Amino acid sequence: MTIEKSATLEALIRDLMPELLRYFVRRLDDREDAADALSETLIVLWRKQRALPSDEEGCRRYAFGVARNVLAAARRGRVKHRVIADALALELAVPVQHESDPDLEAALKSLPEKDRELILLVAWEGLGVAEAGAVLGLRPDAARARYSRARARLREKLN
Amino acid sequence: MEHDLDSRLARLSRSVDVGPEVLDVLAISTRDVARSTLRHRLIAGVTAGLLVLGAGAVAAPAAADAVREFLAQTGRPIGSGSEVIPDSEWIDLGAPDLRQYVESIYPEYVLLAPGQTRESAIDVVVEMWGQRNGETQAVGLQRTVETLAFCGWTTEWISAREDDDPGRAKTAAEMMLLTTTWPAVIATDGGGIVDDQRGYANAAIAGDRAGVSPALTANGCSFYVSASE
Repeated sequence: MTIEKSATLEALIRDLMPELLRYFVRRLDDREDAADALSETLIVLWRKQRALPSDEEGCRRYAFGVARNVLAAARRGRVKHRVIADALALELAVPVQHESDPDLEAALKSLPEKDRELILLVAWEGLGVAEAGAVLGLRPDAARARYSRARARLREKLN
Repeated sequence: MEHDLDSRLARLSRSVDVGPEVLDVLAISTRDVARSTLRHRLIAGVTAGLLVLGAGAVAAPAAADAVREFLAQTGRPIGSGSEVIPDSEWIDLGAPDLRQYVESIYPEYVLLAPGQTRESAIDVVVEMWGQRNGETQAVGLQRTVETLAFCGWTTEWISAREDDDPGRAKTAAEMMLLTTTWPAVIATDGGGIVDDQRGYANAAIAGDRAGVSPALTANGCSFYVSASE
């Protein structure tokens, strides 16, 4: 790998950090779990640096794919606690602000996991439908159809 | 209806506000962990390869010998005591390969302050312990690196305050607090050391210069900082 490519990938990973942090904070209630999940994701990305797509969009998609796997492990309590994440966990000690919407939360929970994640990757992480589908291993046309059905089900539940 | 659903989803999202300094530190430390793990895997792979190559020619060494790679490792187990680490051995501080041994057990999790380097930290450990010419535990050598970092971050906090740089001071204070979670100082704390360090860190977080200053004397920082420059 050339120095230029290495520097570009490093910059891409650094740029993605705030987005990845928000991804975990929004999905994990425990701040220490969120800090550990982010550090684990970053370690995987640094290790896989050579395999990362060098374009911004591809790198972002790849990073969210890794984050999704780490999230699943974190929910099973399988992510290792690292002292290097402690400073971040301290920073996250300030309660995060968000509005409560029990009906919407219940409606989201009723969706299959992949559908829910598709909706949230678009709504919260700002990914396009096809991009979010790629993170979940779906082809663009399948992602669009699935996204449309999931939103219809959400609306139905909320009515 | 579509707009309403989008708005409700957006409002449900949790916001988070973290300083860029913390993320910078995490970026560097995770990168170092990733590189260090890859290095260990490489060494393990090469060692395994050599063992396979050597297996046909010589008998495999006994397990106890197999983990003794340096003359500094005496192989003599340490007895009981309040600061003794189970299954540890005495390290010969007069051994000619003390430096190489310290390099092999260097605590990779330690995040050094600006101006400090891994090499200079190893220099301090070898200089400080080598002149004692006795024996110690590996954890004592690792704790020296942790203390060096604590002194470095304390000095950095004082310097940042003098430069009126709140961002640097905040990072330094958080790093001071982080040093209290490192394993060697916890394992060898006969009483109060970690609590004192945490007190200095909390004083730094609160911006209390008078509460931080004694940290330098209490931890013998003048030796660590001048030796690592």
